[in-house]
Amino acid sequence: MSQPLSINDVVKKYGDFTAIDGVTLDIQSGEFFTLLGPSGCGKTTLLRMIAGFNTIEAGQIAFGKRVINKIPAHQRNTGMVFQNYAIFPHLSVYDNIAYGLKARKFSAKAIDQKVGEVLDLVRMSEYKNRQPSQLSGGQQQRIALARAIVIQPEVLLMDEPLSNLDAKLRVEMRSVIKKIQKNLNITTVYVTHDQEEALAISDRIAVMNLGTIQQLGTPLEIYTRPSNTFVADFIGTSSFIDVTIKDSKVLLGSYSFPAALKHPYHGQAILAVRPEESFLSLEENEGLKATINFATFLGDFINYEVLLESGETIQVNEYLKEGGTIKSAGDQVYVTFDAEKVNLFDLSTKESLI
Amino acid sequence: MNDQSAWTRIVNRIGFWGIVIITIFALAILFLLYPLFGMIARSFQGSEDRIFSLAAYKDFFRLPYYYRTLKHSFAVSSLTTLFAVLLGVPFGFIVARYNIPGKKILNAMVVISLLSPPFIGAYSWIVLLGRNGFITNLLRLINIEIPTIYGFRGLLLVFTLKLFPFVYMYVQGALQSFDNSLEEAAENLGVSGVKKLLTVTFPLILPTITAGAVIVFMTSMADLGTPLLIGEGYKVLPVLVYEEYMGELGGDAVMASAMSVIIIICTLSVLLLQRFTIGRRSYSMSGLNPPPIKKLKTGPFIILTTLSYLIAIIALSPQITTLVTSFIKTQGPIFVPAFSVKSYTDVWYKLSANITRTFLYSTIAMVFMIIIGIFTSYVIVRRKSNLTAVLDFILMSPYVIPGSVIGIILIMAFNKPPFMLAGTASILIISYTIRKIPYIIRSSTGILYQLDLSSEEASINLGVPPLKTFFKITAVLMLPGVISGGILSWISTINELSSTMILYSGRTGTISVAIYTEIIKDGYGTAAALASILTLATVLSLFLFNRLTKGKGSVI
Repeated sequence: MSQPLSINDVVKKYGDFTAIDGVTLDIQSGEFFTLLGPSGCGKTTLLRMIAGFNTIEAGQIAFGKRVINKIPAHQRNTGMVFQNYAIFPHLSVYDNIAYGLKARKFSAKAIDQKVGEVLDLVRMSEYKNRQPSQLSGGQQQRIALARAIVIQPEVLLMDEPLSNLDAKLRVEMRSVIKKIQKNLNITTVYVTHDQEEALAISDRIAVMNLGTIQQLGTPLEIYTRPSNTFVADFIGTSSFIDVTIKDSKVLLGSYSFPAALKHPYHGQAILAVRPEESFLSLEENEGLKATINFATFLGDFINYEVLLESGETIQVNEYLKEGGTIKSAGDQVYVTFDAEKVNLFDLSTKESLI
Repeated sequence: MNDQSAWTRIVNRIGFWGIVIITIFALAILFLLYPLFGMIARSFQGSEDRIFSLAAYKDFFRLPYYYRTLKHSFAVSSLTTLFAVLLGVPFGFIVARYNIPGKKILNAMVVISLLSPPFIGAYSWIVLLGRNGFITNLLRLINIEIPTIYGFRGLLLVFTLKLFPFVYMYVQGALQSFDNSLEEAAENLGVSGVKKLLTVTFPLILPTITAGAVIVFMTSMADLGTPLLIGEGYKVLPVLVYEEYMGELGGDAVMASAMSVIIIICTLSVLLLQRFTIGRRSYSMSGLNPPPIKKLKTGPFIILTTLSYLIAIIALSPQITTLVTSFIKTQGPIFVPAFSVKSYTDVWYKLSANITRTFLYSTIAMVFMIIIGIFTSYVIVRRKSNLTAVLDFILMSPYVIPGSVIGIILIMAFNKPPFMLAGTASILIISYTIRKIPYIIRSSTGILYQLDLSSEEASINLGVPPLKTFFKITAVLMLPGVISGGILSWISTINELSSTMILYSGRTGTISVAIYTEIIKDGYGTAAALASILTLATVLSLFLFNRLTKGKGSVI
């Protein structure tokens, strides 16, 4: 049965290097949970600690009430989908999927039935007797998923499962994975460095960096209210501008707008603006005077690189409007920000002020 | 608490792989380190009551009778290496880069000549160019006297033709994995033709060429059979070691030991010199974008094709000669111009036991090698520790020990109780296994490094314990590769002479020993028949090897 997963203050060290530095997470039963971060942030290390391939130096990990720190990998009953799928090359599709069932001593009849069911689920029934070398990447991916879920694991673990697929297949497979996961209601820990994938697929996300969790939240929370500049930078695109906050107002030279502060704050701060959170105007207004550096046509919108008078550059996206014109390099514009949406960070701690 | 439960507790504590490591260590110490250090210690033994003495070494470097052989060995091996490179590099380059027809056939010819034993080459060249050789006699009819093939010139001829295939194969391998965009980059920057070859192509394959050259040097320095047959008065070091040890007056084991140490030091220094200079700069390339095969114009096409086949035929001429002569009628050492299968019937009646033994011993040795290869490479790669690194190092050491020296260290160690193995089949099988173990370990660890760890982890994740996973997944996936390595070792074991010469007895003579003794007894016909049987076995196993590796396996 699917179980909640609790990770309590766990630590992983390689010599002097601390790969996981006291991580605590509570993952609900049936939740699709993603560990997201740049390479080397510790996300795969943590996943392998759950699977049992890495030792746990301190803290504890439990499936439901069962602490699994000392349980060897083969007795943990997790289903893992590997980055390169790890399909056994010498076994047929059927035998690959039956492998874990045989280890669990199911009868031949039960194995046959379960393999049949899971092949239906991943829509690979007609490939039952194929050899792995006859399968495409996407098909191997489906078999790897089938092999991991057929054993009815307490937790499903996925290590960048889509990173070896081409862009189109990746989008298709991520909805396959999401649907099957919801269908089976299986607790899932998913590792990826692709923020778009994480936003699309997850119930909740833990953004990791340097072995610690930077932010824990739903995709919406993480995108709209990043808790620090690392998250703001890593998720989506943000331009950062140095600003001053005074009397609950963000001051940028002569331009100012209200700041929705959590606590009163005065002094230097960092303003993070996403490309869709600024507006450009050719006519003079209260906004910041700036110049278009570069315009990139991207189909449904245009991306501008805009040079502020302070010397800072920001990214601005403008959707194509009927009759609208594309601004060109050298055009003088006035920039205003969406005060409700932009984020502000403490200059010294880099933590969110909102 | 009784003994048995204590034993069980120990076993549980160190685990299956701990026991594997201990077992391999024990075998390596007993059959390799103990004999090797025994020999080194023996080389420092003084006469009568003196425990430590450098007398043997002093004598070696003082008396021309001894040190001359070292000079001879160096002269032969250096010049052999030079000629092998001069022949192998252009030949390999031409076949790899130009549209020479029948490349597979050419390569097969070269591989067969490479895998057959050098002393058959020596014997065949004697049959062709010796005092009473076919060609010698033919030329005599028109009053041409060719210079003698015995001694220095013969050694150089036999070794060069026998060993240039190493360089050829290495060059081909390097050129096949060569990334063509590098040459294209050179051309794009305005460098082409010979200048491009000299500034880009050759510098990049130089480490590979030198690796091949070192093998040529080490093999020619270590070989015993060839100089015994064709060297005559021009004595090289292994021959002297052999004579000194097998001497009719009981021999001088201390001197033989000292000379063995000197040979090992020579081969080892050459190997280390290469590894730590040019070998360091070895470049790995993907081979995903190999250079296109160039079309030659008619003139050069004819010349280079003829030349290539000529070289391959000369390399293969020992096999051709033995095959042809095995069907010629003989009267003692004299060939009579008539067809006959008597050589084969003679072999069948007199020497079939040698054939059975050869295949039996080699097959047993191969089974040992495969088992040791799988388990040892697993602990070296997957249970990496200082201990397994030491094990790896120890098991690589036979690579620099000539076969005859392995024979000597084994017989010195095991010719007295409690290890009375001299004259048994066991000592031959042990020697074969030791000689080939470095190759089998290298190829097995290579296979294991390429096996993705996640296959094993997937199995464990699905509930199969690690040890069972090893047998169900890892060993199964390694097996085809390790078996192909085993087949190559089997081929060189059936052809082995250097250590067999030292270790065989009346009850354990193999084909190669029979060939040697038949040649000495002037039984040229039976020798040719036996050599042809070896060649046939070699070709058949190569065929099997190619099937197993789907034509992608390299024999070197």
